[in-house]
Amino acid sequence: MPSSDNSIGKRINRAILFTSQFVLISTCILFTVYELAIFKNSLTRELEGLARIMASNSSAPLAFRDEKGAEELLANLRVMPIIRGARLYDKEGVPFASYIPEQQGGLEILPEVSREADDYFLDGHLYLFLPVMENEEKLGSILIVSDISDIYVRIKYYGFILVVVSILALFATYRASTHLKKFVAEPVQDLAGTMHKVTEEKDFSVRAEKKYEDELGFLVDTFNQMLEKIEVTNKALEESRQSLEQRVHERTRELEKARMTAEVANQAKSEFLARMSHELRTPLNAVIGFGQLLEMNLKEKIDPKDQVGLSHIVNAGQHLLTLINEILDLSKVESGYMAISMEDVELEDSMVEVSELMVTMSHEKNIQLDFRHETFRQVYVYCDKVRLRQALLNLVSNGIKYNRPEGSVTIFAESGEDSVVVHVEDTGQGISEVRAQELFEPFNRLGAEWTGIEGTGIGLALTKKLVELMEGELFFKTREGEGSRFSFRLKKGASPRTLEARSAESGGFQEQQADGKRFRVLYVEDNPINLALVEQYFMNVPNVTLSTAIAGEEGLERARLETPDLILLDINLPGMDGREVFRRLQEIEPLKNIPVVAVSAEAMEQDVQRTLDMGFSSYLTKPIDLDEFEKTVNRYLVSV
Amino acid sequence: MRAALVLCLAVACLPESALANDVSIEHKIKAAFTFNFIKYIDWAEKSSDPADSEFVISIIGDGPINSALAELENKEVFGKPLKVRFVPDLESAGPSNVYFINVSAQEELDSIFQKARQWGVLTVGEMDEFCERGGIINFVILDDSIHFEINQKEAQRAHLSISYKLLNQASRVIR
Repeated sequence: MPSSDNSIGKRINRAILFTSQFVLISTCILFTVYELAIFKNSLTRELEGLARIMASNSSAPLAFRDEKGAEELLANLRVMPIIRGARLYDKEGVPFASYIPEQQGGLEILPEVSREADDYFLDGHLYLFLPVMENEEKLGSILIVSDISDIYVRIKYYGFILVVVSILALFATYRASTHLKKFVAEPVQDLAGTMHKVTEEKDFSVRAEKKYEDELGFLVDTFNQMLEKIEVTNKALEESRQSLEQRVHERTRELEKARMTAEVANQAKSEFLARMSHELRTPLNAVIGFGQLLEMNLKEKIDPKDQVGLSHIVNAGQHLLTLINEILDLSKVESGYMAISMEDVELEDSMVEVSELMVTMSHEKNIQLDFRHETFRQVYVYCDKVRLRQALLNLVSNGIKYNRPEGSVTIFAESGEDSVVVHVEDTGQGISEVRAQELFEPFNRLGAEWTGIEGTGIGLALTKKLVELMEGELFFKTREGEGSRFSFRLKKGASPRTLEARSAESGGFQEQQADGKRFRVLYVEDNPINLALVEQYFMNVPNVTLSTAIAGEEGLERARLETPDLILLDINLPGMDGREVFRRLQEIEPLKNIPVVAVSAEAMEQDVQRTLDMGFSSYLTKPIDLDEFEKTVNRYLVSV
Repeated sequence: MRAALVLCLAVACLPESALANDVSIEHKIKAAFTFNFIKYIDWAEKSSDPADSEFVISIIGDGPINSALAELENKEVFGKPLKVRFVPDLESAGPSNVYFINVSAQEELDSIFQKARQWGVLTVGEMDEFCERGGIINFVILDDSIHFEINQKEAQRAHLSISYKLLNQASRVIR
């Protein structure tokens, strides 16, 4: 609301008062000036008339030197109090006769010398000279002096009238403007008040009151109509908002339902995958494990033909295992279930592992492996260590497999500003441009299925996905007939870190045999095949005493009795499962610090993570890979 | 209105030359008055008789005033020159507008007045019983000052209309 000083009512009042007073005063002043001019004019003319009569009458006294008569004539002027004096001058301009009212005293105001016809103001008097003529002959002149104090009286009178009229006008206009205020200002103020209320309280239901059928009334009507429209619009908006809210609500519910369904389905899928991997791995475990044991035990006892057959069994089993793993991985990546744990990894570490794992294969294929270790030293990449190794193994094994006889594979790295590019270069056939596009399609081996080279056709597709999952990119260069170079770029790792396990890897329990130190290992496993496999493995290790249990309770009991240096614990135990056993072990003071390695066919990422999170030292997936097994056991037994 | 003339004032008003010439103040004033009389009289009815080109005063008989009157010669009145003629008697007087009659022509007064009435001539004199005997304006001395008396009846007989102003100045008016 505007301040009261600026209110329209006051402004109207002020405007009217100012205007009326201005008009009134200026009119009065103009009239006064006009009136005074008229007054002076008429006074002059009146006096002139009088002077003419006097002049006419005084011609004979002048002509006949009748001074007395002349004075008597002038004395007649006493009947007019306004005349302050009169004088007759003779032809020579010398005073002849004079008149001064009795009460006035001296003749000072009458000039001693006559003038030509003239009138002028002097000291509040009007002087009027006229010649006295007779028959066109000038006999002398007459002077009449008139008081003009009447003018001042009039001015006073006008001033008084002006003040009175102004006050009356002020009063009248004030009344009029108050009246006007009622007709103009009040409706406007009412309207302003209503508008204020509407803006302040956001209440569109109020209506301005209409008082008169004029423009203001029209304004009020229009305002009210506007309010009505706003109200209707608001209502519609509110309704649509509510219905929208409801729709959102419904949609959310539907989505929630859909999400639940999807989650259930996904759960089912995950369970299926887990079960599949478990069910497929368990029998494979037996095949590969015993195949390897037979190879080891019967090396010199059977003839070479059978040896070849045995190794075929192991190789085929391993191939099958790889296939299963890769399929599982690929499906995990594709469904977004591949968990990635990013960390700073020393490239050289991974390269050493890969080179160790690849040595046998390269010897078999007669391919020279050239790891340029100097390019890996002190180079760190930010990635998932396991997946990095997987990607490297895939690329290097591809390099070995699809190479020319006596070819070579070169592995080297280029360290950039904030990324590291790892190259795997082979000297194979290369890939034709046409087929290059199909390179990353799963199960597409680009015709290699006819060459007799083992492969699943998943490796590259999986590698590409894994690299991309680690925020990197995989690319390749190829020249048909000369070879290919597969490369991937990963983010550079932040800081070098000493890895705990590294010190453990120097030496092992087998090297410590000379010390005569003996280790006790407890293996809790219900599956007799696995049990037999591990028992057979440790039979060849003289300084390890293995004790076994086939159920959780029994395992606990044995652990308490024997206090082993290492516990290998199956997770899927009948009755008390492996995790429960681990929990109980943690509650027993002397057993608390014994390293426990989980051995399970549960290969799903979340299962592994869940188990490791509980405090298990390590996790071995079945089927047991003896190399992996040996390394893990070696790590914990050495650290005792 | 009674005419009041103070001699000394009159003297002050007259040109100094009047004193220098051996002309008495009294006659100077009388001559000036005579000239003024002409102005306060409406000559309309009777002014055509003398030649239109001049206004004539005939002075009949000899007297001390003659020299003062002579000075009016060629003064302008009603746009005409004033002519002063000295004549010994009525017989020798030509057409005139004014007859100034000296005491010396007292014997002829009746015939003069008769002729004047006939011709509409203003008669001015300075003798006792002038107006009573049929003159129109006569100079008199009252309280040492020069006044004049007017016989309005005679003026009317001569068809001369005398202004009220002049009548107001006269010391006596015969009606």
